[in-house]
Amino acid sequence: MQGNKVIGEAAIRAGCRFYAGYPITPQNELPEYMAERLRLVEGGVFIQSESEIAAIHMVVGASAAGARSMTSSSSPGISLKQEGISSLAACQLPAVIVNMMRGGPGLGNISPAQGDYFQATRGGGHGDYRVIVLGPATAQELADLTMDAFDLADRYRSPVMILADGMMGQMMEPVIFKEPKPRVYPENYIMKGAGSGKSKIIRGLILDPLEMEEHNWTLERKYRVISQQEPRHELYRADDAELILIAYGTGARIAKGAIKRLREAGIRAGLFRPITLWPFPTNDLRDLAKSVKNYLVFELSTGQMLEDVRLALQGYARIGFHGRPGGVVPTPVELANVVMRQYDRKQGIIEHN
Amino acid sequence: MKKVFGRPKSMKSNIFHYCAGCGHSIAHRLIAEVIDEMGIQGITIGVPPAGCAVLAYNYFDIDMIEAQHGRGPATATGIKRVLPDRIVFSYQGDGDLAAIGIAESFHAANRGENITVVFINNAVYGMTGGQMAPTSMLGQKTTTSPTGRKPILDGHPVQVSEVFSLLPGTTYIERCTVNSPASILKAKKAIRKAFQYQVEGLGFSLVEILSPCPTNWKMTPTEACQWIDEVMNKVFPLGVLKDIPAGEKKESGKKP
Amino acid sequence: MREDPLSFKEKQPLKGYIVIDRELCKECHLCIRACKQGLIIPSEEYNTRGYRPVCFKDEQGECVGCSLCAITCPDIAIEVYRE
Repeated sequence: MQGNKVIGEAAIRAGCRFYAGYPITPQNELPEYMAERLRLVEGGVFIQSESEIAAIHMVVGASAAGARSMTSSSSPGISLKQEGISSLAACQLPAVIVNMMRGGPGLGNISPAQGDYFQATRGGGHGDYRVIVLGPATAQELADLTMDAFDLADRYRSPVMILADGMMGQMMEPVIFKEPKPRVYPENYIMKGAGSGKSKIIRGLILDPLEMEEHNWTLERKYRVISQQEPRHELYRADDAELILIAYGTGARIAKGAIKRLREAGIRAGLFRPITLWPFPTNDLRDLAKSVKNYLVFELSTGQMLEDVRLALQGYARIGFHGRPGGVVPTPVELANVVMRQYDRKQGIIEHN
Repeated sequence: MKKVFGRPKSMKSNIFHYCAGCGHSIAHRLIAEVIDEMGIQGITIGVPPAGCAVLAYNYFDIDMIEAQHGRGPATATGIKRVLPDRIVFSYQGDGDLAAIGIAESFHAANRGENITVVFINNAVYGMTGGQMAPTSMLGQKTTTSPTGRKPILDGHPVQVSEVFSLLPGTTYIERCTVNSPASILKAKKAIRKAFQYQVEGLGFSLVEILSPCPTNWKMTPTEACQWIDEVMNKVFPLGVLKDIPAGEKKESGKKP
Repeated sequence: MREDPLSFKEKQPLKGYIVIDRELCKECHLCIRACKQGLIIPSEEYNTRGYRPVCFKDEQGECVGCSLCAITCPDIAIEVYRE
């Protein structure tokens, strides 16, 4: 099944009943799929909105009204959504936002890239908030993580982003959809009309600075809980590794191919693949650094996750880097060759500065 | 003696933060009266704007959800599509509806979303201190048009009701004002009709209310009410622009 | 502090009267403009918010409870009573 459609199908199986989006390459198959499927599901609402901005704000309304809601776009459109995402975080509304990254900055191009890592993990929008960011690497993970995203969004009343790229959206792989978990969420915030009870307000505007500070710390406490409980990663051939590649998403797929060639050439390479990009699996990476001292970060960008790796490992290990921005997707052979040039058994990896 | 006029039940008893003579206060009360009379307090959800009325949730005793500046109609669309049997209204000012939010307003109207939009047109950006609005009149002096609005630099005032009445998806559009008891009662009828059409599922309604802003027009409340009659009315004529269910479709500006 | 309706009732029969909430009034004077009988007048006493709320002065009992003042009052400061 095609990646973009996998996300749609997984969302609907997870109970997503509201989707608003605007066409942008390379994720158009996703709104098209939702348009087809949502009309066949009871209570399903699909709106092709007039812009990415309108879409995120429709999601705000739909989420407040109690529906599992999703919007999707690609890099420039995600830039447009930032105010809305900040609003979701402030009002503590659950939602899933899908970013199928493409070359940038600016209008960029339509080829896959990983240049939105900063935007996704460092807020993106204004204010003190975080977004849970999941980085799938296979079509199966697109399915699993999309379903998990809705659960996480509800559990923490927070926006969750699926950070994939154009290549993952287009590729076709076999997928098995897991059973969705029942929806668990506190119902007291939902806007349904006051009925005979007290009327409710959902707002992000808090004029009194001390009250606003308290609200910020409330959110921050939530993010600390998430940081402790939700980091995920995958280790691939790391047990006996002398050198660890760090990559996510499509980068990780290329890295796995490179590792095969490196091992054939005699270098015992392994992979540390973050699955949650926020919260970044810092502690797990540091644990690995107790035994392995050479790392190479590989991204389809000029080096964004590199900074999180540095935060985790600077002083504990040597950190090298290889990146191809702009929509260029290198082959595993190229990556293996670069690693071999940069890694020497005696001196370790050439550090990136 | 019995009480024949008092505070509507859907209006909390907080003192309005609006200026003396502000049209927002009157519009709020009219909407609350309509909600009471129609008995829909428990099923109404309101979306306040960014602007002077951002704190509308301190006054309306109904569920309310804040929207970012200009995005009210999009948020209202999301709520209404998920909960079609609730009454959803978006309450907006000039900048919210006609500047930053024009795309959301236009397309919610074009899709014929079954919501009600109350548009408070006071020809100026009130909350932020009196800057020029899309509906500011030619020659009107504001803090960002200190020598008066000029067409070549600043364009012309936008007649939102006229423009939206051209969209086939809109059902009911009327422009009123609240500068006298008579006009206030007419405005209330328009608001009532707009909410009634929503209850009946008839589509998108827009009630534009010309509203005095004494503070930023630098007038007394009485002078501001007169200015609406003498000046604003000429650019923004009162009346029904569209009323599909009533079988009328008026030329813009003519009174029914 | 509200106007006391009972003091009016004792003097002569009325058709209507209003009660002005002094703390809500913001002295916009739109009610003065609205009252056809001129039964509302400005005053010199301040309320706690710095406004000088208007007063209802109807010694002849001319108020008919038409409610025009209350309808135009932006702050819902006027309640109207009528026979």
